Amino acid sequence: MNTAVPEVELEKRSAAGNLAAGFVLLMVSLVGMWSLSTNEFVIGVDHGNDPGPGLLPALLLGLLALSSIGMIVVSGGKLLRLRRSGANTPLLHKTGRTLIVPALMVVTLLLYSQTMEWLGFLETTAVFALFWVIALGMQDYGRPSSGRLMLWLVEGIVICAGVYAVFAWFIKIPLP
Amino acid sequence: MVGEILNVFGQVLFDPVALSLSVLGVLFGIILGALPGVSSTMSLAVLLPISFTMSPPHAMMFLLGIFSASVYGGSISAILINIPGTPGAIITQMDGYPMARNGRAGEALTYALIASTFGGVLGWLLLVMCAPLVAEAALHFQSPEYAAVTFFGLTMLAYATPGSTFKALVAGVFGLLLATVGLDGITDVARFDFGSNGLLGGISIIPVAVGIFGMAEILRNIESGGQKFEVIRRIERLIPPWKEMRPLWPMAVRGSVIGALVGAIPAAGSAIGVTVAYAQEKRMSKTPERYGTGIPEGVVAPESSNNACVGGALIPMMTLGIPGDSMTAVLIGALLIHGLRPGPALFTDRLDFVAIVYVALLLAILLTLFFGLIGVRYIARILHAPKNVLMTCIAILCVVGSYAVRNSIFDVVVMIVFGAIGWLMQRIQMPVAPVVFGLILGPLLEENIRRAMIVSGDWTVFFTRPISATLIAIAFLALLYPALRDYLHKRR
Repeated sequence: MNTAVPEVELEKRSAAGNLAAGFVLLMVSLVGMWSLSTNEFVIGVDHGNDPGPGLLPALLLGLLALSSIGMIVVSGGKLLRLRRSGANTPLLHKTGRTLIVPALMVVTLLLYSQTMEWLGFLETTAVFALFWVIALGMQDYGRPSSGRLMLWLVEGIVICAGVYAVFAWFIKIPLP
Repeated sequence: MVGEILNVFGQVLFDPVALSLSVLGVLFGIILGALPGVSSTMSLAVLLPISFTMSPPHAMMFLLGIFSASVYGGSISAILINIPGTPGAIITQMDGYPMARNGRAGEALTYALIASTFGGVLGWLLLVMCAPLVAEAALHFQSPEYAAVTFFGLTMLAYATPGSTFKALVAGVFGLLLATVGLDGITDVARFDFGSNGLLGGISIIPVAVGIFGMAEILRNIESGGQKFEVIRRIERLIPPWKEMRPLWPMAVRGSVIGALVGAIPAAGSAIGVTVAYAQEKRMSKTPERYGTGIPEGVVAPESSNNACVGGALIPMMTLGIPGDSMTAVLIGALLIHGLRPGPALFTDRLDFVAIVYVALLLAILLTLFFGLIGVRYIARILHAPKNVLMTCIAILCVVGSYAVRNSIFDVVVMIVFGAIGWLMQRIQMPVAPVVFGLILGPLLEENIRRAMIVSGDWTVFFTRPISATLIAIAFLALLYPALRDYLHKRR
């Protein structure tokens, strides 16, 4: 079975990515401009020769907005052109599969960070380490034997203990 | 300066803590640099928080050990598994891996080590000789010149970054914008805080660097599993015949000079240096077709250039406070954490610290040679480290390291968010280094633009002062050149 991704599919993914990035950056610049315009200490205050704290942010937001509009127009046009040429490959679900594990990592990291101060560093780190050593191990090696699973459990505990020992005992950084 | 260097060298030799930290940094650097999926910038960013409680001299011993050694470490995986451990080793693999497949893995590793040492020492010499001269010139800079140098550094980064210059500029603008979050340095006005105490304190460089260079790489590595590498296990003869080594010295010198000079250009980075050095040797060779088939020349040229870049990159960092590459961007973060502002004032007020940097780098180069020679067979075994353990450990180090900056969960969240942003940026081929550069250089740029305006009251000051005008002109030319070249090419 040929698993190589066709070039037109890659072009489509690239254009879709650029289009999404363009929209995100445009949103960032619009939110930034709103924040700046409603900040009474930045806009409309005379600082003498000093251009003031609003100049550089305004300039940068303007540049960002223009660039993002450019990205939207160029990549949107490219996507339309590819679609018209008959390139109708289903890209979302294929792309989506590769996003699942990293997205899960981000979510678990956020949970880990938010519960660290509440439950304690050692407890939350142990759970995080065990989960991911096993999850990534299964990603690479498939379903583990009991021996391998035991090894992963030990490795997870060692990672947790090792990091705690280095930061809390050796470097003396206070951890939750 | 020579007296100061010798004095510090003597002190370090009798300071067991300093020596141990240098050794530890070198070992971490070689090992992490060798691991595929762990770049030298990532190694430095992830291990940087360990240096927070060290004194500045000890921190430099540790961090420069990692910095210098990881650049060599990247060649180990490039040679043994055809995957460069660091961006600078991309060219080394072209001849290093074929050499290993031809049963000359040991020799390839030794060529890489000796060339690295040679390049490292030459880069160090350039740093010691040129940095004081650049610092002396920079002492005469005023606000317009500093603003122009900062602008020049950012545009050179966009120009020099592989891939789309436009996307690099957008990333740089985003980084500059991030630098404006929090309290304004001149008027103390709050910007973009959205009512959050965390944002009011500004976005710290370290969590962003750890996120973008560390966490983003982890996310990229875990996207799909089942990656197995074919590792060349047989490492036999380590020392190449002297007859074969002797003619390679001029090549090592040329590669080192190119690497050191390219490294000294703000934001240029080692990837450009190694490419130029390799291309130069191939062009000069009587048998260019042999390059890429597994010849020592193809290892010596890029490796000497790669390590010479280290010394070169430290020049703009120490004299102007402008990162020479992404690793020096992380180092600037480290210096700021320890209360040191890189720039020409270091050479007048803290000459002792400058001497420590010189000694730390030279010691790191020599220790890399030592451990490389005695330990290369054992270090190569590390390439078999299980990915699940490695990635989990580094993820936890990223979390703890970000927390350790200000004992703040907000910084951990910043690290995670920028890790996700960095990963998504890489997916759309948008360079990530400009974001960190923008964050570091943003305050310098804004402060100096506004100071220049406060003093002169006139925008033309940036274009009427010769150094400032020249730098701005070069920056615009660098930005317009690719478009101009394409336009002229199409017309023909």
